[in-house]
Amino acid sequence: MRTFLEELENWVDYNLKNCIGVDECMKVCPVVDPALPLKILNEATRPGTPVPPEVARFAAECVQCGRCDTVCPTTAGRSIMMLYLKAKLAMQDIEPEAYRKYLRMKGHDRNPLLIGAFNLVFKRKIGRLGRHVDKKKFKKTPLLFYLGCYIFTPTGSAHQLIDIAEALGLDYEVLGGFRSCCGWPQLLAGETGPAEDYHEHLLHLIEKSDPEEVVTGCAECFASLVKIKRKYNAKFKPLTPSMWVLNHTDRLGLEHSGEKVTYHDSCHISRKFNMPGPARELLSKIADVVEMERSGARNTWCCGYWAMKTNPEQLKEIHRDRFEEAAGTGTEKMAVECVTCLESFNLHPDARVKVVDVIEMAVENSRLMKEKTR
Amino acid sequence: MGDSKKYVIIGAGIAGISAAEELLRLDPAGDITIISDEDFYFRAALSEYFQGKIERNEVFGKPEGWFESAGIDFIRGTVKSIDTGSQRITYNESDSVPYDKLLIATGASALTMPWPGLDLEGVCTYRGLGCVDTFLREIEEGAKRVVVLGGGILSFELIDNFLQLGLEVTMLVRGDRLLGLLFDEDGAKIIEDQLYARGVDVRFNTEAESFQGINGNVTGLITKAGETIPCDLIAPAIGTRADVKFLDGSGVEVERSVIVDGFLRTSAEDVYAAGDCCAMRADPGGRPVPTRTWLTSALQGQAAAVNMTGGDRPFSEGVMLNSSSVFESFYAVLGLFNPRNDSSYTFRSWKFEDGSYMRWTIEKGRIAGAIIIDAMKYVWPVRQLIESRIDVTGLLESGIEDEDLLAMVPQEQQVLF
Repeated sequence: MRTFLEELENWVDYNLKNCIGVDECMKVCPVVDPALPLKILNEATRPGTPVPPEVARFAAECVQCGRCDTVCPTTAGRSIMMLYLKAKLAMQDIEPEAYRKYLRMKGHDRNPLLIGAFNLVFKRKIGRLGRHVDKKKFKKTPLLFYLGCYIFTPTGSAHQLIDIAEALGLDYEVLGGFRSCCGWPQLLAGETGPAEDYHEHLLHLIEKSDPEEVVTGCAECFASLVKIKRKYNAKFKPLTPSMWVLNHTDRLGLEHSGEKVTYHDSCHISRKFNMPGPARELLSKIADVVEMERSGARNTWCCGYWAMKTNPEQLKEIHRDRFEEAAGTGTEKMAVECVTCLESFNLHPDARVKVVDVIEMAVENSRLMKEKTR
Repeated sequence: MGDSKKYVIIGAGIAGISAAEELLRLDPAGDITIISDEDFYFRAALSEYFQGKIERNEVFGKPEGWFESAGIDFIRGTVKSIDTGSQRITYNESDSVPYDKLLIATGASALTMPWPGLDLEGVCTYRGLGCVDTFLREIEEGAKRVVVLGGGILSFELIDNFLQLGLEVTMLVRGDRLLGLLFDEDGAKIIEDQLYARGVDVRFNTEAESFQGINGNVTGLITKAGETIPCDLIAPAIGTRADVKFLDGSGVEVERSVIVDGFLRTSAEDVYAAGDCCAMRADPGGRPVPTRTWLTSALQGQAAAVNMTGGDRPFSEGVMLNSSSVFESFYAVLGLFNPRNDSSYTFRSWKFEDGSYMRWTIEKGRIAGAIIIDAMKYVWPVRQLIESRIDVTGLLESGIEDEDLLAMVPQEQQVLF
């Protein structure tokens, strides 16, 4: 089986040759400095060439949203080239420091002592999820909630997924914590080897409970699950929360609230895997969905996640801009499906538009869930 | 220094540049010279420059000073002749340079007919950067009406450019259908409809007889039927022709294009060819076919370089893929996308709800080629299905869903990222 790096090397040369220089990828990129010429990027992407600092910075910040891929007339796959560039930088050990720090936070360094200490402190703060953090024993069950490192984030959606499963009387397992990292942060850092290790380890952990469905609320975890499934021909089916909830709408008794909501697409779910549908389908059962201009499979817009640790000023601007667009639709709520988008937007809350999780809205408008909490 | 091999590449298009890159990698001690009258630029990005979407300097494909920093000797000049006996190239007036291994990568230029009035100001083909400069100058000077000759994809691209700049367009087509080389009728219709929607006056079964002018400037076109079409610009886009005139008398076999074998070797010792100027005779006695697409040229340049450095690698680009965009549509053609008059192929097509389209060429249960319009997500899975040559009969029966398509692609053929 080829390694990720071999896979990347295999494609980067072909993709570079397929580049016809129309600059479309650079025009739609939410990250790149518009002054960076494509020819400089291409030259730096070739194996064995030096990487100038402005390209290194760009490569480090690329979150693989895939917006570039959808506009390329020759399907040259800029995102693959960017991933290779990240790997090239990692091999030369020249990732920018800010990014390195960020990745450490995301569990990039698998320091057992650090993770142990972190778990000890934070396990208590997440209530009933605490006992699932980095646990060793799993029961066999058809349904697995994979929460990865977002088990620690203060969002409610992880709890609500479990509330729903319990209300429906479903048997489930929970997998979460830094030791079950999906490997995406490593991949974004160009550390293809460790990313692959994480993938294998995660597959090993998933197989312990032998699930049919693996549900995750993080778009990057979801992307990793799809890749793991394809690569190792695993039998589980990766689901986003809305895909999973859609299978149970009858029993949940979803009611239309009459309110209006707009939806912020996740790059990975809507664009990379071309699934803008499920979240909208779910939302339309409980509210009227009003679209923003930048939405849907081809025209999603990044939540600014890439700038969270490396470019805080720009992040503020991205959020202001996006909230402006959301407010322009005349709604007071912007739903998101990915916990990373939620985490990002919550850094700069807007008085006009509240950011809500799709699952949170589903729970609020479910007859069954209301009865259970009463 | 005396021992290092002297590589000479004629032409700085994508084939020549790809060859140079590969030579740098395979034989760092080698001595590389490129002779070209143009810098390297992205030919397919010319339309972007034409429409003002990118600046002129963004069309160029290599950073400034790339040749010097890579140690390549770039000679600006036009090759007059080559002597394959003494292994020397004559360029410009009487300058010359010797070679150990030579790559001919001169590309192709636009085909024209000996129309009377061809030399008038305002008659210009669409091939190089200079052509765009000419068009833009004419439009700047007030050109409003243009006649485009030809019904192929290049005409469409050119018309898109003219329309974006507010010109009034008439299109003359020799036959009775458009885009016949690239697409089947259903596929072509998607693109054609966009042409009609933009108000282009399309004249089928119409050919140009001559061009009219006053004071050296174009004022109109006369058709073979005798009709006069007043215009300020005439843009023939009826095909391409390999730039191989300088090879006359050199002993290198030319049959419209430079003839190469499966290793990109020409009939002359130590002389190779790649890109638009060459046509490959894959089987002895077979008809040489030029491909003339960007990616093929790049891969040919690379393969030729491997063989120039003593390698022994037959050229293979895997599944031929050509993909681009015109008007609002993206399209891709793969493998045997539009085979003609051959009963060994059957076709299966899909018109999707969103207006996108796909057609597969099927040969004995396997996909041999495809036309894809606006359903670009299928390009890679389909390319891999063609490459893996697996039986798709089951898939055809069950209908296609994204995941099914991906699942059909054998694991080692999947693009994981």
